[in-house]
Amino acid sequence: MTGRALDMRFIPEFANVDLARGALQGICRELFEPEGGSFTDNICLAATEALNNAVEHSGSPVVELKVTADRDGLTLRLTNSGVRFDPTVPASMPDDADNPLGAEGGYGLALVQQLVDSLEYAFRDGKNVLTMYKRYIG
Amino acid sequence: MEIKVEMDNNVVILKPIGNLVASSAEILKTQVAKLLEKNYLYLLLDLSKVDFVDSSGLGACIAVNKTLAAREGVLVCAGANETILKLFRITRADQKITLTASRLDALKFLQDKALLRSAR
Repeated sequence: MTGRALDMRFIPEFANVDLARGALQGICRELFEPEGGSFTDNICLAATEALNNAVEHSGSPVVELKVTADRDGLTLRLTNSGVRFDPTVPASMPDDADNPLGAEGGYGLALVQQLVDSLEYAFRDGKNVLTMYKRYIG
Repeated sequence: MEIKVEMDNNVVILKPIGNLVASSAEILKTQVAKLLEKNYLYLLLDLSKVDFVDSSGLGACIAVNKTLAAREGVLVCAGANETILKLFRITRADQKITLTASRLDALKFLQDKALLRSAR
């Protein structure tokens, strides 16, 4: 399974995030969980949240997602040339005290941080590069 | 995402089919806004045909719950799969929105609420 990779490059629209998630779900099922499962669910939700943030906030004309698989799990590298932003700064879920009935937003970053095993950020050549890794425990 | 709408006495049942995510969350909010214009206050969101919800979809559910609560209405989400339930748990939304395993349980809960209100 070494060296298997897929690159996606798309205009930052939410509908394209749906396509990227569909491709990622397919990869997870092909390589790890044919019937789906928590690995697939977690990595797909983390990727969706990170991509949604890029679509909503980066202002980048293009978003790139590279998925690389090895026998132990998946590495996702999300790149955009938008506003410099470090998603590894510790985030928490919105405060219940401020939102007795729940906040309508602000969950994305905390979800990403909870759902992956490692998260790294770099700003290289004018681009935000976010690398997420999720280990598969079969 | 498509949303099927059904009625059971004074309970409106919304049944989205597809994924409740950033690209589709607005459809749910718009649908609920139309129902509120007609003063429907008891809403059952049947999630049995929803595979995936992201934080935008969750935010739409929370927004609907808030809007209904402000009018003394009630939202119940029913039939969510384990993936969706996990999202509700992680974000603590399960402490704000009533969740039931089955549509029947949700319907009973809402009809009891409606009866209580009419008895007041």
